[in-house]
Amino acid sequence: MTDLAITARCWADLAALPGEVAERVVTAFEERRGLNPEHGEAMKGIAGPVRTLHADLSGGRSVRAATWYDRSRDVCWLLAAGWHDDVYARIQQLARMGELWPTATDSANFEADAPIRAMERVVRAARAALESAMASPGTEVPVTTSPPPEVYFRVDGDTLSVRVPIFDERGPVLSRRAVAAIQAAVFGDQALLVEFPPESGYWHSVLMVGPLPSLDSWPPPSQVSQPAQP
Amino acid sequence: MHGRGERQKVQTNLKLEPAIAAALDATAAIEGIDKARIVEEALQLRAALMGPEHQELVQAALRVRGAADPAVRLEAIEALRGEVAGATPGGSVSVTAALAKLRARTLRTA
Repeated sequence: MTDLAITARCWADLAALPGEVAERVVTAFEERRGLNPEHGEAMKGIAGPVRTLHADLSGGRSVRAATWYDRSRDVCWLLAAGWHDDVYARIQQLARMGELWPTATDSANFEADAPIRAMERVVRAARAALESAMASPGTEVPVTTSPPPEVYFRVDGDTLSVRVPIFDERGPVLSRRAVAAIQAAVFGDQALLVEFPPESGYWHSVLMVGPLPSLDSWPPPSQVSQPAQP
Repeated sequence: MHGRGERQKVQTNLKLEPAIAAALDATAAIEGIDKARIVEEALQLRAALMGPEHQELVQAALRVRGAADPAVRLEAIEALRGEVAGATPGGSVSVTAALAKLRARTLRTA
């Protein structure tokens, strides 16, 4: 499952748009590139390739954005966004000036965000994985496997086990922050058993066991805040 | 100096699945450290996962998902981010952080 990220320069684009419009760009990015990071028409004259993302709103408001899929790290970046009438020319100009792409600071911030991304990916994939795990009790079902972290579900009766490998052949692959983020994404604030069962052979994993969630209400949606009404 | 009787006996004959044992061998070879040290690190992490700091991290993660106030959510995102050289405070590039920033801005201007 591809990771998603937004460059700091693109954040300046989003900040210049009305809130509703900027939010529409980000949610369109999440919905579409989360499914297929290489979707969208490739822009001519820019290597990458850089692909266009349409994020139109009602009232004829035509909004476009540009994305780039970094295959080597399996992350899709949102690079630029703006009104349809001038955004493509601006993207071409940014590309010519070498300012379109993620910077070293973006990369460092991306690394620091690993726990947040782990949570995002688990939430995105959790429902389908839980449905599969419920259909095959006693069988481990992958939730997400690449890029790390790996997360697996297993249903036994009314319990859900979540296995998260924390070591692989390269050494430690997951921070404590990321484990906490995954735990919260799956189980919320419910009490659960956190095991490290050496008898299972899973010395390299942490195993979290909790109540089986109901598909009717899980995973809980992220809160959406609305402006206070006058 | 520890006498023979004082020395803690170290368990070395772990009954691991072949694939796991192979991974442990590979890790030890790549990292250039003893297999016992790797298992020790895993056990330390296990102990950490049982501690109060872990619960604080879980609470921060819950606020990232569930806080109604986007400013609280942004604070929680910062608490959850790892320490990486070159990373900037408030510089999260995640979709979660972008949406929280946009909603915080909308609330400020409402």
